[in-house]
Amino acid sequence: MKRLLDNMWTFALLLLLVSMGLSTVVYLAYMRSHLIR
Amino acid sequence: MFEFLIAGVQAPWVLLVFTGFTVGIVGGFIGVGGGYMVTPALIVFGFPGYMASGIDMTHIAGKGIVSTVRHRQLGNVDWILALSMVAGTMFGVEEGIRLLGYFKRLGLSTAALLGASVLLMGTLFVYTLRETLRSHRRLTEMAKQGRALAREVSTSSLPRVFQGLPLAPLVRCRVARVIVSMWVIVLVGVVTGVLAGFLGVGGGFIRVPALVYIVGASTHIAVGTDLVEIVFSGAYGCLRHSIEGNVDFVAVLFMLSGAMFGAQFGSIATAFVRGPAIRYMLAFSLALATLGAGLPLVNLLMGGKLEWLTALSVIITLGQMVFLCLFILSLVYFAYRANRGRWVPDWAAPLLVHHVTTGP
Repeated sequence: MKRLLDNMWTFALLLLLVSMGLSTVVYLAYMRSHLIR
Repeated sequence: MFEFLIAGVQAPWVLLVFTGFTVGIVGGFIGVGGGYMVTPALIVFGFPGYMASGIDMTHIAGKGIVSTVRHRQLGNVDWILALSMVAGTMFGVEEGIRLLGYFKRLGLSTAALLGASVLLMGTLFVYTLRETLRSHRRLTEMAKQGRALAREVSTSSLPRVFQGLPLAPLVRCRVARVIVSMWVIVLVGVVTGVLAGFLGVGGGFIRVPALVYIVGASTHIAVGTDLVEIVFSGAYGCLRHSIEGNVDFVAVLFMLSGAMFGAQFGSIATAFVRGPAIRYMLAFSLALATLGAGLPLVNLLMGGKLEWLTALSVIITLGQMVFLCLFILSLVYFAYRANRGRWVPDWAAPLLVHHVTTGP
């Protein structure tokens, strides 16, 4: 884990994956609610 | 879900508070209003486009005041610089809007506008990232040599060129520790204002690099001073949108209840880092914003056949505020650890300000 954090770019990539995953969930939830409507 | 009567929509209030909080942190840290992140988010939450812009602009005005007060307490606001720029910025924004109208009458397409936006943000991203990487490398070398690290390290030679212009009157900005021609400051205000008005954005992400790389202010001062500009432009935008009936004040209140805390946290967080850390966040924000604007442009150029690119652009825009927020929180956490003499990543150590001296 420390080796993963010791490189700024891998750390940034890790955060990017988490945040993009979260935003995908929100976006899909929005699409689902709109499709149901 | 909460029913917003003025906007006539039902939207999740928790997400509004959360968006206000995250964009508040990002805005307070890198000195932007965050309109390019909030407007698409509000549209995803169900608000119509015109309401999204109105709510966004009104919340930026409120949030800007909170951030400015905090940055003033931290000594990051140069009032001479800020007030010298305000008139130029307002004039520039108005001229930028008129210029846009003129080009539209001439037949300027959305693709050209998006292209200009991508080109500007992409150029700013490349320059900021390259310069910040050089500054980071210099900070790391200085730390290895055991030298005292300054709060700001910049390797750009552009400020020296502009500060050397012998055009009277010369202005002495005491807080920013800069002596520069008034014409340079006014011109920076006008040009950034025109670009902001022309591209339909607040302009924070153009003004902060301009203050650092043209006027020669430190990143902390650039952020604090730019937030003063944002209060003025946000208040003007809030007034214009309110008159047009584009503002749902209940939604604004929800957003502000999160932004109030986020903006303070983001502003205070700047005290834990050195200038290049803020510029890194600005560069990452510019990269993701370029991508967010570039994908719909590709779709447009392909004749609208790649509709999924537009969806991806919304996901990236929503994701970038969470990404920046998480990165800023991580930097503050690393600073907390460093001040207690605990392990922090090698790359982060030179970017952090040590408030407490540890060790012998």
